[in-house]
Amino acid sequence: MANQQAMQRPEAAAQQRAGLPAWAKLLLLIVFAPLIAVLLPTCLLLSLGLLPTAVVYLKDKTKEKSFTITVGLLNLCGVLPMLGELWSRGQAMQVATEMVVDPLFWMLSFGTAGFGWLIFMGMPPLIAAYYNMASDSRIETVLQKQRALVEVWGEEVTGDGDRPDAEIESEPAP
Amino acid sequence: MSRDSQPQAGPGLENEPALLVGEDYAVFPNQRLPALDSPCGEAYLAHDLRMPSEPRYALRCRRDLQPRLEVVRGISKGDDLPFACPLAWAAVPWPDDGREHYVVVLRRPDGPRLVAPGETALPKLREDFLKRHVVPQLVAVLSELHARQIGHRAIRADNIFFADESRNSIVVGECVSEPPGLSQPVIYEPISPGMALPFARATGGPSDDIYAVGVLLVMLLNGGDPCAGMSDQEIMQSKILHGTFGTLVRKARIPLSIMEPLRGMLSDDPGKRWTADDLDLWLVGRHRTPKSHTLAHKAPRPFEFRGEEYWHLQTLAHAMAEHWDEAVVPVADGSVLAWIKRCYGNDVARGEFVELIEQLLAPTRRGGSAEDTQLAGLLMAFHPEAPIRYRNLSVQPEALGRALAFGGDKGALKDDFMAVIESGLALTWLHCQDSMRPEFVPFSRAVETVRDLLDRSGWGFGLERCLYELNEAIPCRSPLLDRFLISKIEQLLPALSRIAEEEPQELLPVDRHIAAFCAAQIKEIPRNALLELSEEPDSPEHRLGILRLLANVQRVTGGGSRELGRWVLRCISPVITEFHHRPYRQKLAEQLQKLAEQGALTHMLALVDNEDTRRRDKQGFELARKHYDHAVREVAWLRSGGLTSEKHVTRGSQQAALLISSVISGCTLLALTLIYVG
Repeated sequence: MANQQAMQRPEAAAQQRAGLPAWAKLLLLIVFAPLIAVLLPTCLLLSLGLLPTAVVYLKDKTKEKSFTITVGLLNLCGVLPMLGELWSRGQAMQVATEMVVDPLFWMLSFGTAGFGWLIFMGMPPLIAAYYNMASDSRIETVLQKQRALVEVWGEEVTGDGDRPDAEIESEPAP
Repeated sequence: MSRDSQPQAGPGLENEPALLVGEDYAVFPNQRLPALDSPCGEAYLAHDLRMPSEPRYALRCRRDLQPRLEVVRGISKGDDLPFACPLAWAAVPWPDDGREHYVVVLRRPDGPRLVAPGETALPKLREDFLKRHVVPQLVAVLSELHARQIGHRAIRADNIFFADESRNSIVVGECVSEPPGLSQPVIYEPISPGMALPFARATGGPSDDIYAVGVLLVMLLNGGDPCAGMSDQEIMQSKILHGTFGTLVRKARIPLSIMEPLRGMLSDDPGKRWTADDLDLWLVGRHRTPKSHTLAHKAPRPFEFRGEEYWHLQTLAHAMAEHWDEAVVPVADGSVLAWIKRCYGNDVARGEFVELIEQLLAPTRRGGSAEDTQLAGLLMAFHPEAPIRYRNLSVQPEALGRALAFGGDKGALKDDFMAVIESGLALTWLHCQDSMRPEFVPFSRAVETVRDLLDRSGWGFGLERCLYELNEAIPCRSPLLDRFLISKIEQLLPALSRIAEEEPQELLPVDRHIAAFCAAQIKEIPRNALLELSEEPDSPEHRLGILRLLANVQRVTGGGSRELGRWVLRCISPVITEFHHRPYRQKLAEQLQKLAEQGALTHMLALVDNEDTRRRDKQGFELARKHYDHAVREVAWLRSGGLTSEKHVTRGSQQAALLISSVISGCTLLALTLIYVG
């Protein structure tokens, strides 16, 4: 029984690494292939307009993908007006081609993506400065609380000073 | 009694400082009357404010002895008895040392003493003089006392006065300034009290007085002590061996006509001894034949002790008690038991006696050393009527308390007393008696109680408690109350209030003696008060115990003062500081201060002794400590860069960027929707 389980485990891992099973891929192809064929102008516009996001996605190694989401959301905002224009003009391949060669399309998509990139890159110094201020303020608040406790309960409330838990420098519970 | 008021003195004494005893008597502490001194009391001039012409004197009693104040209360104050009758008493602060002394005012004899104290030569009086001028007076006094179940217990030649300078009549001296029989020479005492230490003699009664009268008459007829030159031990040995009558009369020249009453008065069996009524009948010529007393039983063979042969158990017991360390040896090596078995082993009638001896020599007892306990038990079996004898102690059972009061602070006697109680010798004495008498019942109960108290060493127990349980009227022996004579619980708080007026800084108002005194006098003293008092003196528990004890005394007796309240408040400061919550502590201190100003100890206790408040304070303090610890950790974390660390900043900035982009994109989507829909 144990040997059988040990043999099954590598198979499951290989299946997980391969992603979706073959039948699912086939099903997706059957559903999306006609959809792509129908929405080909839209797909063309999106695939070119969201290129910066795709690059960021490839570069973002974090688990949360915060960089990708930040850039992606604003990039999408830049592509959306073009998409609206395409759909208002009948979603024709010709219209899509015209838009793609329009420099405005590239300015909007790359400009909004760049803005997202700027937000993401510019935030740490701001946050660090804010946290510095907040830390000082919090220390003062906690010291005041300690003084109030000593005032009400006396010096004994400070303990012996040699108690091990008084010296622990761990993050306090929220 | 007013302590400070200046009473109106008699003629010539207007400017003399005087002390008031009762409402009717002034005592002049600068006017000594040495001729009227008693062995345990100094005599001073006294003045009767109601009847200034009546001669009075006062005795200042020794502080370490308990005078017989109950006699003053129980006695008739009539002026017709030839007796230095006690009229009033009071505890009076004496000017020379400022300490209270018991002062007894008595009727003053006008004549000199029959014989000066310590003199052995007595005036030789004729038989008819005795019958007319001495015996009737003695009978009158004793009849009066005995009718009230009071024994005089101080009938001796140097305590008899001539009524006046004509020396035609006598007056019996006082009997209240010392414990019963304390100053009686051995010759005046019957065998059993005579063997006891002077301060360990039982109260005694009428028969002891009649015995002393018999001895006195022999001395007066003989013109001196017929046993002069004999030691006390020799006198006792002779009394045991030959009987008192035989001892005294064979050495004195006594008229035959007075032999009969002397035989009756000097009988060694109290049940066969004459009474005052018998003596009165003899005076009027109605003679009664005295019953003869059986002398000590003679053993079939002697026992040799210290080179002497002893044929009688009683004399052997007496000799052994007098030479304790040497007596232990034959008991331990079994030679005494062997002698007993040889003498009585085949005597069926004495089978129980031999069994008793074997039981007493069995090494199964606790308290004291086994050899001493065995010897003490053996002496009881040899002479059951004799006092309890244990090493240096020789005490009549009824006088155990008195012995403790006088000898309890003396090392050897104290140890001996404790050994007697702890080893159960007091109960063994009862076991050795031929018959159970009604007076043994309270004694047996008292011994059991005292034994239980001695087993516990905490405050309110131990030897101090025994002292007050066994001596109902004894003043509290606390060093704190040294200048007072506090014999009733009602007097305690006023005395402490007077001490408190001097603002004692270091002293606490309760010590072991006061705790024991209160526990003996107030049976419903809470047990936890005594348990708390047994803690360390600086501990809050001990201080709370002080308040609890005094509050209970106040509940029972009332009293208390602002000064005492302040003193107690100072003492219980550790109890107040035990509360952690500062605002509550402040409030509590203010409330206690108000109550202390009113001297309300019971209310102070109710305020402090709140277990719920104490528990909540403790819980609050524990919570506050946790909060404080948490704050300490938080500050340390912040100061070590916990909030501004790279990891924390990165995470925060990512979240902030995400939030901003979400808001912008959301707004854009909304705007586009509005544009295209519009």
